[in-house]
Amino acid sequence: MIPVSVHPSAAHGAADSREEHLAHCLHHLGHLLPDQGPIDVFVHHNTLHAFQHLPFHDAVVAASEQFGTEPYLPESRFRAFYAEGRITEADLRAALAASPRADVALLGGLDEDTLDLLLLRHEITTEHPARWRWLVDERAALRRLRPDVPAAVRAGFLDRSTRALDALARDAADLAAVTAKLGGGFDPSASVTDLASLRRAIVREPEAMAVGALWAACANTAVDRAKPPRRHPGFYRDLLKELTAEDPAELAHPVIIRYTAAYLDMGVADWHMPDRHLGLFRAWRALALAPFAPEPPWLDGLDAFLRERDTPTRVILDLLDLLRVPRDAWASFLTRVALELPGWAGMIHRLERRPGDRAPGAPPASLLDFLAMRFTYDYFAWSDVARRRLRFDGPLATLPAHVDALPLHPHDAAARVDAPWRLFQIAQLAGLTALDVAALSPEARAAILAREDGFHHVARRRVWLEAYERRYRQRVLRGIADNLKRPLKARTVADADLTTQYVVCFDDREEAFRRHLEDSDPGAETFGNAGFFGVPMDYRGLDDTKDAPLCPVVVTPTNRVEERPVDREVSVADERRARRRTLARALHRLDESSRALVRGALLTPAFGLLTAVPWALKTFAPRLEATLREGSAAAAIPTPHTELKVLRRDDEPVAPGAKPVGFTVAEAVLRVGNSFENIGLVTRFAPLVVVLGHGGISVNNPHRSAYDCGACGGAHGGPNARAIALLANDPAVREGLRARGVNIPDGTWVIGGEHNTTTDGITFWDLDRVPDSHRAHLAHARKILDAARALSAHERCRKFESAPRNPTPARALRHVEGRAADPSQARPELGHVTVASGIVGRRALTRGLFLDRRSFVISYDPAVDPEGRVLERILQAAGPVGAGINLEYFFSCTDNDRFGAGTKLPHNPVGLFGVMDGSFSDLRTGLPRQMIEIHEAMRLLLVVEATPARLLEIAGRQAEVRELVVNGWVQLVSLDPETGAMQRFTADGFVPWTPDDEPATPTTPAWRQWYAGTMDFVPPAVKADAGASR
Amino acid sequence: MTLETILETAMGAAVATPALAFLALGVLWLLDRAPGERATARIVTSALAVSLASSVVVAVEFARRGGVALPVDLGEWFHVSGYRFELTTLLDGLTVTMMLLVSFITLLTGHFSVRYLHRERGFFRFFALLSVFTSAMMLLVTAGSFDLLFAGWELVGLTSILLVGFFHERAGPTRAAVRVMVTYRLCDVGLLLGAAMLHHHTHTSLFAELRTSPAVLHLGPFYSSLVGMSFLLAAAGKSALFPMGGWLPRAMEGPTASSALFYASLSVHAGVYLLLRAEPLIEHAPLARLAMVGVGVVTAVHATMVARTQTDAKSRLAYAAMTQVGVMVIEVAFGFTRLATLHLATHALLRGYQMILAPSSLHTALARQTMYGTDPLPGYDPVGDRLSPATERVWYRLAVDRFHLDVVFDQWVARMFLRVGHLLDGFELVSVRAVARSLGGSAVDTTPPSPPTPPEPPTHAPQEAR
Repeated sequence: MIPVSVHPSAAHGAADSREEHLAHCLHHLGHLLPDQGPIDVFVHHNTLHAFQHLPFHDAVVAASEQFGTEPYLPESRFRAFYAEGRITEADLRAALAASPRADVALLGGLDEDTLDLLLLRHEITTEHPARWRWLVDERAALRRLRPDVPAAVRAGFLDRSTRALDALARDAADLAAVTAKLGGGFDPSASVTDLASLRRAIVREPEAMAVGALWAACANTAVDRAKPPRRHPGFYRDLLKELTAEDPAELAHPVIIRYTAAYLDMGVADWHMPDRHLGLFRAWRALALAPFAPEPPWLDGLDAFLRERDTPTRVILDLLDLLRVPRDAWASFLTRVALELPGWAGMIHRLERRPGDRAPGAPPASLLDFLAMRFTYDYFAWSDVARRRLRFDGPLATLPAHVDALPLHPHDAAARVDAPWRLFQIAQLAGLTALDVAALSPEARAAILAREDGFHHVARRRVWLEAYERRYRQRVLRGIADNLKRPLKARTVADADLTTQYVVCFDDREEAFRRHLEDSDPGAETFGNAGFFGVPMDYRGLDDTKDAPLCPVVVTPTNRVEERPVDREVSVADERRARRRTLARALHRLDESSRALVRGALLTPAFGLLTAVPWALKTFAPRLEATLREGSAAAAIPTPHTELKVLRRDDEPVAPGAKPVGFTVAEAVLRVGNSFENIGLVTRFAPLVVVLGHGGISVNNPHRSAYDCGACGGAHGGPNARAIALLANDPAVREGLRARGVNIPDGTWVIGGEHNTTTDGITFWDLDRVPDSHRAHLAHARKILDAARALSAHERCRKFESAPRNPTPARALRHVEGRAADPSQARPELGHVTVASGIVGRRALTRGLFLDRRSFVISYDPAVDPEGRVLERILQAAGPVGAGINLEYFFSCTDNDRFGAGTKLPHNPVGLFGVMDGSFSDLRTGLPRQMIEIHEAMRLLLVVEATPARLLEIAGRQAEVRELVVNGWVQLVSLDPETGAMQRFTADGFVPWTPDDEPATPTTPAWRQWYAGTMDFVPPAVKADAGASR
Repeated sequence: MTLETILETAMGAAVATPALAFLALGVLWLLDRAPGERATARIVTSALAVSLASSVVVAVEFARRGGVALPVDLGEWFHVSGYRFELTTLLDGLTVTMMLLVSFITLLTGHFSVRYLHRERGFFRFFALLSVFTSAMMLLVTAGSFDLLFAGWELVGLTSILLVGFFHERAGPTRAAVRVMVTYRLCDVGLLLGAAMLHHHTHTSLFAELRTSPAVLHLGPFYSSLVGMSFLLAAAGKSALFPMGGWLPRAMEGPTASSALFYASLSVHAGVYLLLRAEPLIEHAPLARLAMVGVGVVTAVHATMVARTQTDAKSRLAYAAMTQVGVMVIEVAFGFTRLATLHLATHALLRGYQMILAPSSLHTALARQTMYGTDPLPGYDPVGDRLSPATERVWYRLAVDRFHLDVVFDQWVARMFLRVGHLLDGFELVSVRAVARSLGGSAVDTTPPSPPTPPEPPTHAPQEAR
């Protein structure tokens, strides 16, 4: 029987501070939970935000200890990169030099650098005795060299060893003397009985003799480290799982997940949990205490337990007392309990902190309630498993003491084959012969082994990561440096040639698009701005029912903008709304009926056969199906012409408690002015300025929003482009801008549109407002955009395994359009995959440089920024957004099972806010495997066109930027605007960067040639200028 | 070539082609030349396309023949002391409908899976299992006797289990697969028992003879009911009828494509198909019909209640499928075979389509809420609106806990069998020891001879330091 009452004396006395302490523990553990909200709006952020105050490498190790995640990619991956040439030895040496090294000096045999490099390149293992015997018997480990010993080392080893052994055999008195010289364990073979047969054996089987002798020399090495006795794990679930092979979570999790999902459900279930408005704990308790509802045997006693306790605090405190958890261990214990289902706990915590993520009137979320429910079920599950499997009936708190007395399994208790075997492996890889090793003193051997021990796998992977990042960094910085050597004429557009200016988001996906625009039209200039174009707003589209903030998550908009039908088409809009409402109700009714009993039984035979048509179309001709569906929707539901009211008069009234609709002229001047100043577009304007936001579309994809614009808070950025175009065309705003120094001439027209990054489609708004004078310019721009988007699709197709080989741009465009409409496509577009760098500066730095869509290219002109305030604005917005995207991909790639969402295939949308695997599992957070498959996990390389002094100043004022840079979450390189010299920020401050001694960045006449033929990594290249001298 | 030959060849092609694809894949794999994704996909989808084309040919020629049933005797399977077990297929209206349905849905799902499972580690395994499943399902629906149907039935069950456990690196799918396997095996006893009883009492298990054989007609209500209820047990396992239905929501651990194929479209209706075939027998078995109505009603009612509380897309669809399967069983019990067939085919299409698009449900539902406006979408709950809060709580608890069917099954059925198994294990150990003792006299050492000892791994400090 489970004791349900607690000794009263424990409850009184320090009751207040107990509750406070509990609240404090909860607050603390909340930080460690995932911070992902409902996934219909997916915002990339640093997965380890809780550890951002720590240096990067310490943070990943701390996270690894807390969550059980991998700190870095596995060594096997890094070694594969090394084999491919993605990491060179020079990188490894440089990374070793920069990383903390094991503080053990070697006393002979080999030097520190050689040993460290050797340990990086090859795996040194300890073995369980059973496996060791197998290696010796089956793999002849004591008679053959390891297969991964380099050929040169192997040849040298055999040569020297044979000669040395032969000399030894020649000069020795007898076989025993040879054996003694080698350390006493030399056992050549049965056929060797004297020196003559030994010498014959050395000639006949040199490798076996040499390796056998080496082993004999190594075998005489003292065991260097005392292993701590292996203990049982401390936490109840792990302890019971280890002892009984039954996981208590199998009992508890299904029911916890069911109730939590039923509570948080935002509209899937037709029958909602009763009493939801009272909170999770009270609703759950009411259900648990409902009469006539049977409990499974493991929950025997739950109703008695809950009857006495009616608040979550009481439940948790009592359970902690029952388990006799000391007060200072409450935080870690409760953290451990909460982290059993981090996704669910994180979602509850997030909804508690940000109720705005859900509809108003949704039931309140409380982490305390969830934890109380969770802890109760855990307690009962642990007790049940302990009772059934271990026949343990006592209080659960005494279980750890009880089992400590139980012996370990003999398999686990066996000591592993350790020091001599490690020395043996090291000696083989270093090419040390038996006599070299025999000559080493015990101190020298101990030193080698201690250094190997100190350079453990986490430290090694850290070095690998640094080396990996270094190779890419060297290439990119070299690419920029070589690009700067091209004449300025080739990297800029002369005033006379300027036709169009394109302002797009600085998203890495747009990097290719911009290159193709510039190629298709040499008179085109492109600019990279944050996707919200400096116009943060709460936006409500024509079809939306509530506002969505279109700006980075750290910014709170102060204005609202609505998309309204034009005056003469208000009735069309009303008709639209009514028809959409009818359609929604009909579809909902149809859906609900298809799942119901009687209505389903009537509906299915009557209409079910028709399902064959859309199913077949969606499978075999998804593009056609999408066209038909959208066409029929457009025919049935009218679409009015719309306008955005972005400007308002200063004296317009504002509803109390609401935000003003639109911007005043002053506000508009401020925002548009800042936006244009940010990108350096202040005096030189083309006749047509095209501003393009971006967004992605896909079907059958719960993570759809992860492809949208991060700078717009995970939404489409088109409305921002439209808004800024309208503002920038307004005469009053232009006058204000002129006063500010942003001189938009009368002959310039700004037009807003959206670039769909999945289909590479482009849509424009407010085309009817374009003055006649600019129609030719617009037609020209649209032609250029059509060419560029097809080329952009072509460049993307090289990375899709299912895309046709060597398509034409038109074919590639059709292919990507198909991907967006195909419900079976788990990889509709590439997203931010492979993002690795960000360049803040003039386009002249990067125009003509191929960065393979891996770089955020942010426009910034130091010439218009004497005090650095513009740069500060940019870094304040772009820094966290860019770092968030890069780090989300980094961690989802490094450990996709725990940081990421695993494979999409079993994903099951739950409650309209997340996905689970299969019928019940933790809520999956992060990116699914399909999104990070080809990602290269490296930290963002931020190159900023500013002096180190300027950057340090800004970092001094911007806390988050400083934290990211100083703690090493982002790599920072300063590029001097005057000289082009680059300096890298390290632990020792800014250090000048010099290129490696290797060939210059290759040139290519056309991008297609450069990336053709491979799906893998393509290094940066520079555009070959016709006839220009370098 | 006569019409009959065309029909037989086409039927044979429809059943055998996917199996041939599996054999081809298997042989290549055994020769260590397993084809890559493109080749595998091409082999399997073309086999499925051939199967569909053959089914269409069968349908057309069958109609030309006037819709007359065609039993085809494939010869003798084996005989035991003078009793012959025949292999026959039967081609009638039900067969043709099912053939078209099965081949159409598997082709759609197969084509879908080519892109959906791209670059997945189990790609080859999935398509191999898909081919086996298609052949098995075709065999199931073309079988002319309960014996041959059993063969298809078992293979369908095997592929189901292996695809539930597709992600075998995780514990959850593996456990779910074991649960499905235990349920299937337990319930398949019903099919065996029923077929055996039929053979024993009527000396035939051919579908064609269920209406005509005098032995069947004179079987009497008691034995007919016994056979009918055995078949009901078998159907309860495969089609997740009450009380054997606890496994269905947990079977959603495989990829969406396989969940759609098995638990929405095809495998979950196999039980109903079995009952449709046994219907001529059950006509004379009032007890069995009563049981079927009871099981059908309870399945449908409990499933619809549970479906209303489900918060994730796939479980909701699973219970919706269970609801309609319950209704189908009621229809068969009342003898409305045509209606039941239509219901089965249309339901398979509808539910498979909904399940394939289950990942869309999140954004579709949110879009619909937005389209409707700021008010919540209207619900329809005539029963629930009339319950008092206390009653509602009780029923909600039961429904959200899925009426504890899986717990009941574990406790009372699975554990009982496991205990019997343990007992048998113990008995085996005791008897083996007794036999060994009586043969060998002294205790027999059964440990294998140890290999020659290699050098001892040096785990201790050497005796002498240098």
